[in-house]
Amino acid sequence: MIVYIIGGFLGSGKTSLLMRLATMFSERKQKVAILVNESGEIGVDGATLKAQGYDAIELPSGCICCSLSGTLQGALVNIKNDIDPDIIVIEPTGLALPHKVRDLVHNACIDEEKDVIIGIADIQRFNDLIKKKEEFFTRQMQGSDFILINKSDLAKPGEIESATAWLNDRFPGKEVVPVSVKEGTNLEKVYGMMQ
Amino acid sequence: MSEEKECRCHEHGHHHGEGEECHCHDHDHGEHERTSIEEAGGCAAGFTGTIENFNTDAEMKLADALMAVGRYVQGESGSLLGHIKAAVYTEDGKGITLNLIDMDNGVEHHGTMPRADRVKFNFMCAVLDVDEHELTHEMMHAIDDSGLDYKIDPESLHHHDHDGCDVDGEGHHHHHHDHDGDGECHCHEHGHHHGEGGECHCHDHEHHHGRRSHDYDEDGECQCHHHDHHHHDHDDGDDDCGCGGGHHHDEDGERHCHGDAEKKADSGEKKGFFSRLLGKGKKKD
Repeated sequence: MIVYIIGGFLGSGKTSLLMRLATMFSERKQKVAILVNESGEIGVDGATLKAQGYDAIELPSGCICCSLSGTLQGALVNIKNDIDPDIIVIEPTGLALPHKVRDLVHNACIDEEKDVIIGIADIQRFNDLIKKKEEFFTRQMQGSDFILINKSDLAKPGEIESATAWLNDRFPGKEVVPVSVKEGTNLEKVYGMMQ
Repeated sequence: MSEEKECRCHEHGHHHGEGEECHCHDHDHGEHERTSIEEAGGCAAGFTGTIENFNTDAEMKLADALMAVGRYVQGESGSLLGHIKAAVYTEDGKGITLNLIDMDNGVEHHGTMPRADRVKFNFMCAVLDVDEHELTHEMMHAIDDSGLDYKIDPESLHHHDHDGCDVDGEGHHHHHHDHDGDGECHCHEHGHHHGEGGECHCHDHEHHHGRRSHDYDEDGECQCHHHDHHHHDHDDGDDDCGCGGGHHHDEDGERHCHGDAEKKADSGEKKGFFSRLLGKGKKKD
């Protein structure tokens, strides 16, 4: 069993990526369990996933990296025991710190083969985010195994290169891949990186 | 929004019965580890409800509501960093999602659904640098102004209280929480234990600490009870005592800062508004 954690800021495209990946896994006959966390009491992502035909476990009303850490670990144990999937995909809130989620997954003792953090950033709001919340964004991305720059189809000339340079400077050695989850650009490459 | 998180543990001032130990001060103040949401300066708000006669026109009205909230967030924080979402679905779970991330791009519509007599909806925001309480307020105003024929589930608002508003339509003020200026609810933070017979008075504090109606000092503390002015007779019954709360004194000079009379006087419009929100006088197109 492999655990994937999709980490990124609010609106970066985590849910869209999750749906794409879940479809890719299902097409390859892999059993997938999806765990979605939302910070508010009222969730929308779970409803979205269900409306699109995906079966997801929702953990609302808090953040699984801190206030709902016990809930996350309990849910993982239940998923392992009840579903025993090949893949677990976790989508934390857009305000979570993914490396903390990974620590919690480790400590849940579910015998996963490996866990992978996929960092995802929105190219359209990259500069705004860096300007206003640079430290937080840096912490969000620091645990990522690789980083996707999403919405490449909407990027202005030079934006992808500039964001890539910033990320390479902050996180030397981490692969940075421009993608468009909406259009499917580079997602096969991402799938290959995940194996 | 304040980056600092104040300890509120010693403010509740409750009393323990004879022989009951107070554990309120046992905790180590160093344990106030901030959550990631606090670290980011973010907040989330939302509610659920139903919409009658949902069709393409109603979908556009809902999208307009999202845009209205987006404009509010942009105005408050300078830019929309976060997302404003709504899911609309039928009993079988099938439906659509509206998602606003970027004001220039507008609301994204995901999925399609046929016209339905009645649908459920979830409306939520997770954004940075706005007050959670005000955000909820704006969301409610936005949906009310949209022209939708809707009803909000009162239980989905249990964490939200309004100044003088009859939130659940039954005069029940759900949750009198205390914002210390960072917009966070501290109601559940005191974590003390009451032994048998040890009464908790933490929730006795009736009025709502909303930014719009109360007086705060620099660290966001409520000053409502700190004023030490004298309540002398005001002949006209209309003098303001200067405590900042805009309250009135009646003819015998008594203050009614925290009384029902003021709430009723202030909330005439709001009561109608929130009653409508909760389906007591639904708007029709």
